[in-house]
Amino acid sequence: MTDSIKKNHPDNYFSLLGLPVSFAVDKKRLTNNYHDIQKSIHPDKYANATDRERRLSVQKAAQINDALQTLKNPLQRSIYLLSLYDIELGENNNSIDPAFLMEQMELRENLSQVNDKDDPLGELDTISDDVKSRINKIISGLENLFNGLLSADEQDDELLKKTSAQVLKMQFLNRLQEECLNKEEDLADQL
Amino acid sequence: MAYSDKVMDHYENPRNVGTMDNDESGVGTGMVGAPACGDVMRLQIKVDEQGIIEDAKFKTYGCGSAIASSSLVTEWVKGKTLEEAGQIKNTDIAEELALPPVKIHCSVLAEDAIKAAITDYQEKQSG
Repeated sequence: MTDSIKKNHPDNYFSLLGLPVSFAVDKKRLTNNYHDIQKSIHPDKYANATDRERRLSVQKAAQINDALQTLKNPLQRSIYLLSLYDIELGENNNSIDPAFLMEQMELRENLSQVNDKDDPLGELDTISDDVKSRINKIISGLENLFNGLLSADEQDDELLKKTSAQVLKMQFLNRLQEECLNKEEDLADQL
Repeated sequence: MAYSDKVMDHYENPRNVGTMDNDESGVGTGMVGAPACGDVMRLQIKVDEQGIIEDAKFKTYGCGSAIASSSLVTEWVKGKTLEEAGQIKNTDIAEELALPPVKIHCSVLAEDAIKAAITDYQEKQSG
């Protein structure tokens, strides 16, 4: 499967940054490769170049930036990997597990009520930790799921569906994590 | 991006925010989420013996447009039959609230929520 992805998407973010197509990313290698490439296409090197060459180097720099931002974030990286299989996350609002949505609603309700608690910051920490551990659990599962997808000879639609469902959950949890951060700022302002 | 006056009105004074007891007979609950942005919306209806929606409540964790869309739908469905309520289109919501193209998905979410609530009610009646 990795070969066909490389063939169909020769300019994919992983190959742009000299990394294997994979969910697990070597962070150090990612940033090192990024800096090497940015150095090689730095505008100063194009002082005597033609307009076209200069324009291409600017385009390339922007592309490399996008690639870095996408690959260093697990959620964005997952969404990107799915896009290489032509999967757009959650085209259908009804495809989300109702029990999961119910749980999300409860977590958000708890978050909205922390101000009324005796120890709002402590309560918020508990919720944030809970959200974080849920995200980490999904991330560790995704590594196996994507490994399975990428190592299969043929496209495994069942596995692809299972993987998308997990990424979708991470999307909601990520949003919740942002809300936790917003709440933290609110509480800090009130102190 | 500026919100329209109608969105602001619903956002600042949301109608019918709340929860109904899901186990009560006549109550249907629709729970939906927007994959694109991670918003979650719960819309509940209470249906009387004549099949008329006598009350509706919602709770939405999301942006102003999502809150306004669900608030508007709870206003609209009260007094309607299930069939009438099921015909509410996201385009009606988007038009009423003057939603910009990037916020159309919020009105889609509200349409999905009322449809899900109706389905939930009907499944409970037959079950």
